[in-house]
Amino acid sequence: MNEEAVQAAIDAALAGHTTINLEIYYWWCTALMICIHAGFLAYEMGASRSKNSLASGTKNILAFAFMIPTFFAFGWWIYLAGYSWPFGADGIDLKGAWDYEGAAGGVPWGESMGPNLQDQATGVFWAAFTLFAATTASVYSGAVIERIRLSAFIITAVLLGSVVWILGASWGWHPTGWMVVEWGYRDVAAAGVVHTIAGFFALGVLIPLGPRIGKYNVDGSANDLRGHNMPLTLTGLMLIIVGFFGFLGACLIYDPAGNWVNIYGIPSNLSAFVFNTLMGFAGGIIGAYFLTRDPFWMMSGGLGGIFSVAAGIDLFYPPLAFLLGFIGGIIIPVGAKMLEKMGIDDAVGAVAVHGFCGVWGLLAVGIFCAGYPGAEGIPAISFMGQLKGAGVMILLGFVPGLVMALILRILGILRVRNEVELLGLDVAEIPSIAYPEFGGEGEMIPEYDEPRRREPPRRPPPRRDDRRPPPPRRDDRRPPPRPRNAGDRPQGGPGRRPAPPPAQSDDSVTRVRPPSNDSTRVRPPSTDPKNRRP
Amino acid sequence: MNTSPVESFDGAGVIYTFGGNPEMLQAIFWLMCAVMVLVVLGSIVHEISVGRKHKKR
Repeated sequence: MNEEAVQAAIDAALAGHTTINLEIYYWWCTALMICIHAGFLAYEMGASRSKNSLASGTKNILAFAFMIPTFFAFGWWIYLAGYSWPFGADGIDLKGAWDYEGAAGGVPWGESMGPNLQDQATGVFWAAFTLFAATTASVYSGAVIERIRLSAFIITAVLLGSVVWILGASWGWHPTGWMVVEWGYRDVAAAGVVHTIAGFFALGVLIPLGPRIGKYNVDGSANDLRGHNMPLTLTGLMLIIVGFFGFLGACLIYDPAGNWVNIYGIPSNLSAFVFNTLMGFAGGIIGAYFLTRDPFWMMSGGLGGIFSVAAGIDLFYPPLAFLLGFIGGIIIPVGAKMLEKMGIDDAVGAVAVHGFCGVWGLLAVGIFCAGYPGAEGIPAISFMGQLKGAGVMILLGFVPGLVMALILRILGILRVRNEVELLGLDVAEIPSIAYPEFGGEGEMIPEYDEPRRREPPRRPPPRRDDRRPPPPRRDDRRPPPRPRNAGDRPQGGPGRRPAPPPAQSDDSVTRVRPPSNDSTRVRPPSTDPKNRRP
Repeated sequence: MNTSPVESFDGAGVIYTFGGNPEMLQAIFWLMCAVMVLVVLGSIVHEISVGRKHKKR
């Protein structure tokens, strides 16, 4: 083998390893992102009152499940085809502005949308984007808990996760998206395309949906409808943070040459990401602590701190990221309070955490990173570009959410009936209950314990002539003579208690619940007289 | 305001904001420290006031 052949073999091996590394990297980013959904599950169940906790959890699980096939069906195609929509060559062109040829690989029956030994990238990229989509749905789901119908939630979540946010991603999170090309819009870790869109979509739904019963008094003052399990909520929030390391990692691209670039093709690296992720997280927690000292808002502040730095996560000086996160941590409780005063009942503060912090993050890039160059032919970052981009993201989230929720309300399928809301969604919608030990229909009480709890049966007061005889004299204290046969057995000699009466079917002693047909119940105690308690 | 230290990606190393202005970086760093001190002081004041309230009870 000559030298050229050896070099060619080495190059081929390196290229193969790079491709495999790419697959491995996105595989584990996707796996880590599932922690976001585990976190949202715990977060929203804990933030619900106990009568609604399983319904909130079910909603979250279904959002995840519905996002996967719908994103396969049309979400991925929209990302590949919609980067210039609705602007065609001659102005607005709603039909012709899609890139049908470029998105041919994204149709559900395309060769790349399934097992293909020649394509080691499409599957893992599709999976990462699907998890981004599921994240948007989870972000939105927390705001509407405890009164939205499950079916209405699924419809709106699919609209958000598989249509709206991915269209925004195609516009502003794609190297040739029209917002990027025209305005130099920069949103490296999806502060706008995921968080702003999801937060304002939630706001759009919340307006027609209305507040929970009991949230507002007649005079307009608000009540604090606390969730039933704050520790579960806090644990969930921390799990979301863990998952976001996968999310943010998947915002970097490991290119075939083995280099890191961000979603716009601009050189970047994981070290830059991790500096600012951690600093923003810390700043957000401390900012919320400074203002509220409430652990719920502190953990939400940690999330908001990350979103506040997400748009420029690979550019900020880390102490600046801390300060941006700190401001984000202050924005959240202030924004949530403002919405509450406006009569908007956001159960978990999702609009403030994701919507407001996302906008703040986009503007911060315009303020602190202005002039940073784009890839070839892309304008540099500018404040006006970021401001216009934030406006587009707000509208892109808010308008579809509002319109869809209004349609569902007109059809009468947006919100559960008042009786159901008062009773609890778990009882109405879920064939199970969260805490059976603490009451609720279908409670199972093992009958085995029943007799033990009863007081011992009272004996009837003895008649005067049945009273115990006086204690025997000393010479009488000897054992009674041994009976010669069973018939001679004494029935109660001097110095002894009278023998117990023969067993009777006294219901007060042996009464048990009638046997149930339910196989899960414990068998009642035997009615055999030998097993009865005295 | 152009706060970017980078004009092209050729040889770009330190890419964070205000990278070309060390005084500005130091000012941001000390501002971060000041914020943390402020928060800790605020926490001490809060704890003292809460303690007084409970003492009165």
